[in-house]
Amino acid sequence: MNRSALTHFAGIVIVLVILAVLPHFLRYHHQDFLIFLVINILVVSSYRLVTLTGEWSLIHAVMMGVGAYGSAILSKQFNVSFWLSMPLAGVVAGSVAALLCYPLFRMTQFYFLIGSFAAGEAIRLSWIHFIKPFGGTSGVSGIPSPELGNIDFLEPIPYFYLVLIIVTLCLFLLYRVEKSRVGLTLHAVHWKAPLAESVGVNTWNYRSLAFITGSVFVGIAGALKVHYIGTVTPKQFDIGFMVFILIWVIVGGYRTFYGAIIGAIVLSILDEAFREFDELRPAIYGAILVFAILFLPAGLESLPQRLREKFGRSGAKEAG
Amino acid sequence: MAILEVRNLTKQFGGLTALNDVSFSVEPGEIHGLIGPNGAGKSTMFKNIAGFYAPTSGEIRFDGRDITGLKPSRISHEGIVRTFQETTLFQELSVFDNVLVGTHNRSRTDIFSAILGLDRQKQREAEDSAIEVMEFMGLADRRDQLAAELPLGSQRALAIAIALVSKPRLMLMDEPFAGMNPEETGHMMDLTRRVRESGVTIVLVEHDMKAVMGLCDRLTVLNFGTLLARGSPEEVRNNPDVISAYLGGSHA
Ligand SMILES: Nc1ncnc2c1ncn2[C@@H]1O[C@H](COP(=O)(O)OP(=O)(O)O)[C@@H](O)[C@H]1O
Ligand SMILES: [Mg+2]
Repeated sequence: MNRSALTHFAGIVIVLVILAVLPHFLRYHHQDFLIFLVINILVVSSYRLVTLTGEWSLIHAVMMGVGAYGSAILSKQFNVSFWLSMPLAGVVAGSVAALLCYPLFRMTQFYFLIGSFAAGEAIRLSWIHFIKPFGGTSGVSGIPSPELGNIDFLEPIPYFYLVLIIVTLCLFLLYRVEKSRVGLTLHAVHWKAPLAESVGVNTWNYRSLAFITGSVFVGIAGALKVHYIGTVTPKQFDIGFMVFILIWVIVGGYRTFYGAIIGAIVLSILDEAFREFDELRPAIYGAILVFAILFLPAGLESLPQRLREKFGRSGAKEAG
Repeated sequence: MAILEVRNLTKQFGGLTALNDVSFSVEPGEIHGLIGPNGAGKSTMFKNIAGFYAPTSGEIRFDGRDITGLKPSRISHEGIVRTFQETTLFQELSVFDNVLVGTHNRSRTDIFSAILGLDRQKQREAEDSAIEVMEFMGLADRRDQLAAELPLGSQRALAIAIALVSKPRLMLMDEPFAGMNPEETGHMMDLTRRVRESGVTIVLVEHDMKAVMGLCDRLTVLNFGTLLARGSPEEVRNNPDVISAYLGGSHA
């Protein structure tokens, strides 16, 4: 392990330790907040994988819903245990994504963006339309919480640990994918698709691969969310939530693995801080987005680098 | 037997006929020049052979097999790789990563082995061949530089390295000498010869006549999408059609 890998490793351990003790110092309501924050970190990180090939979809929130509905229906109507339905949520979301690849990846860029939005709305409408099994606008409620020995997963602290462990594991897997040759090829498809093709990369396959894999992980995030709330509705995964995902990734930055994560953390905390000004929150979010695009076009992730440049600490140029 | 055989190839873009019933063949081990004035259809020919365009009619055979209309990635699997007229690199990736992408065909991995770390052996093989090709192309000491930051000569060398590391049997090089000074050209000519000596057949599109005459075993001349002449550099140089249509015309 070289020095930069060691610093990264130490950083991750510190963050995990802080997260592990943090809920004990928080009020009930903030413990909930922390659970959703950790789930949202998985949402943005899986979205990052999808965007690696350069295609920004507008269906990620809906794919999260596909996993959520999948797990909710499996556990409620078929009595499947959470421990099985949660990973199966990933399989369900991944399979739906695979079916969508054929129509969606005939398009690129702007058309892909719009096409993915339309496909997502079609799925959301079918949740509303088919009361059986999706329960219409009121969705599915009474989703059972996980069972394991005598741990009470209705309480936020045990559920938080459950979420923390699963999300950490998923992030580790996502990170491995990105740093592997598969991840390198995804980058290559983004930067110069024709050149990648000329050396044998089937760009269609790789775009699909990123989309399916990202959907698997966001499907798991969806299951984690609704098994805590106990209810799944179409509203939870609408375009409004998708816009949040986009803002987190854009404000955080999409050059590095941790950019989107920082974006989700910082903006969620700001959002929470402004909870009192309820009707002003969208405006505050908008202002932050505009500010970030104007003054931090490379995202929050570029902040350390820029501060370093500004205050001229020499020889501190690290590999990201 | 010819390694590449183009038979009666026609390519139309709407009303424009970019290639009109062109046939030529390339023998194994040669450096074959494909020349002609701007707009003659040379790049279009490469894109048809490499699968980036589908021919309107005609047939392309590689090693006796019909490869007409296959996708670029499939054609690359067959052993044909093209370089691009405009220097085309993964600008945001390091030199090493650029070359590593080129190993795609030979050491495939899939996402499960990537996650589980089962592809270590392949990873090492890929890295070894990337390093070998970087040394071969004189890029070894630029390993961690971003492609975008390289000087022109090294960018061209990198483009060839990406193609070469995929171990092609036929390489289509589109104007590798464009914009180079005589010194860089000389260096590039050496590299091209070494690529051929390593067992790769080359088709070269180039305007630099000194390079073409110095490198090529045989030439095919296109003009306005039609075949104008074929033969050794000597024959082509003395062909009156070529002199009037091409050497005379555009060099006047
Ligand atoms: N994608 C395309 N669409 C329409 N016309 C094209 C396209 N590509 C090339 N052409 C036309 O085909 C002709 C041959 O172009 P090209 O193959 O690039 O010539 P060369 O490489 O010999 O300079 C030109 O007239 C060019 O304008
Ligand atoms: Mg050309």
